[in-house]
Amino acid sequence: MRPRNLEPLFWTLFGAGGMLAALVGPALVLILALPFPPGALEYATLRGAMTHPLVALGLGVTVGLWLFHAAHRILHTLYDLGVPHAQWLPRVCYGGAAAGALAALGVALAWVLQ
Amino acid sequence: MTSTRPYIRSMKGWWRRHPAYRWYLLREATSVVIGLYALCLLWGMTALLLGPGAHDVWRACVQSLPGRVFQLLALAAFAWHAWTWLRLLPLTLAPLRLGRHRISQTRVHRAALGAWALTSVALLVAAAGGLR
Amino acid sequence: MSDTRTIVLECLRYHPERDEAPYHQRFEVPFTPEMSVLEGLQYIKDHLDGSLTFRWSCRMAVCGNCGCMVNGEPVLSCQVFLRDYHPGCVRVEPLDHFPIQRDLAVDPSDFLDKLAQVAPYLIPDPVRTPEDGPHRQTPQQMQDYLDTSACINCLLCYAACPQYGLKADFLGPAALALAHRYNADSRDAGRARRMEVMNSDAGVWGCTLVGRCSEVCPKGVDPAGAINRNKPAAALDTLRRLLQSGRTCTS
Ligand code: SF4
Ligand code: FES
Repeated sequence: MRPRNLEPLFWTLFGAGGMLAALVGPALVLILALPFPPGALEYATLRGAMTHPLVALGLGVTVGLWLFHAAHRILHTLYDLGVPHAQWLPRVCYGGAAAGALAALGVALAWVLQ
Repeated sequence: MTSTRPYIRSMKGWWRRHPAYRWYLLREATSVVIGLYALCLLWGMTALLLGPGAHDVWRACVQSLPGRVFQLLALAAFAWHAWTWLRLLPLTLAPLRLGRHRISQTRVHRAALGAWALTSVALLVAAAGGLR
Repeated sequence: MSDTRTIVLECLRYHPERDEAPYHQRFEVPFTPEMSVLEGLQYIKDHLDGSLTFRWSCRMAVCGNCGCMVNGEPVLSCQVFLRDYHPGCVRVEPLDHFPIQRDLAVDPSDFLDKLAQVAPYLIPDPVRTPEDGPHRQTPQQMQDYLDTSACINCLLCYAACPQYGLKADFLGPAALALAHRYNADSRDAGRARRMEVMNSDAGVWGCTLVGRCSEVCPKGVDPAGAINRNKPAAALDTLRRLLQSGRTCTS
């Protein structure tokens, strides 16, 4: 039997992204926003951190899932606000998220492989 | 029964009917900021890969006044998202059991908040050590 | 009586044969501390305007007939008291998101149709007859569905759910909670059959977890929890179907 639609798969990605955003989001924003330790955003420092494959891959996956999380919620909120259901709307939302997620994974892989 | 003419009320501006609906929309709106922040991170990790010149542009943007305002907004959005997400988390989990007893939703919520605090502290400590 | 005071009830009126659109009518009602909003409505019907139409039966939060919006909150009108609104006024309207039949009475047939879709009864497998004797379960097995079985079909959760108001085919909180009630029952084997409706946009995916259904439910059913606990299961169901269709395509 074929599934009726892909909503459950997008919901799973939305849920994973939401979980990650809740658990690591606030701390990550805080780390990049605070000038602590001084010089944390220097080129050499950040490069040093990104050469660790876990950091690069973790960031890539996180960015990708956040994009799916955002796409799913934005789509449903647009419906909530009365935007009519049109075929192109979910395509733009999820297509954009997929493109962004692929880019993030690509960049993360480039970090790991270099 | 032909004389019945039921009156159908419109859903226009439904969020004006109750504050709970506006809190709900505020929760959903955090996703816009989360999406933008993800794009900002994507830009950052790409720029870092490209070299010092590209990274300088990214850092200048992040540390400009609008960049800082955006980060403040992101902090608020992520915090509100985390708070509402963890509060609703027990609703999505099948009731957990410990022997004969069901673990209450309040317990699950507290455990989730604990996990959140732990991850946050661990990340902050790791960053303080690693980003030197 | 010395503790009799007066309160204003503002009722929504709509008589389809007479009115183009609903309007509000004010009534001044004398009340005593133990009078519920329902008793206020009954006072109006008995003493002020016999044409006011509303539903009720048990007067004790059991039958689920008397639900209406009081000052914008879906409540059982027999369960809220006039004294708690005094000295303000009490605005009584029919339950949100349902067609108004007459004054405070709504047309619930959409809910009844949807309830039937989730097969809200035990589907045992193998089929049992009375000769098989009682179908036993342990107290723990009963705990698994007891909360959700307390539903009295009062429809307060539907009036609290914007998704039900926005999407014509969304099954809504109580119907999905009742589907969960039978799925969670150890004597039932109808899960696969109910999954068909639950794993669809009209089913659990119509819910965005606004969460107010669980706040307004007078029986502690927690429909939001019942619905969202089924999302992971429905997602797995989809995954299984995808894998199966992949296998049948290659074979
Ligand atoms: S779930 Fe609660 S609010 Fe909804 S119909 Fe049942 S008893 Fe009423
Ligand atoms: S009259 Fe029965 S629930 Fe209120």
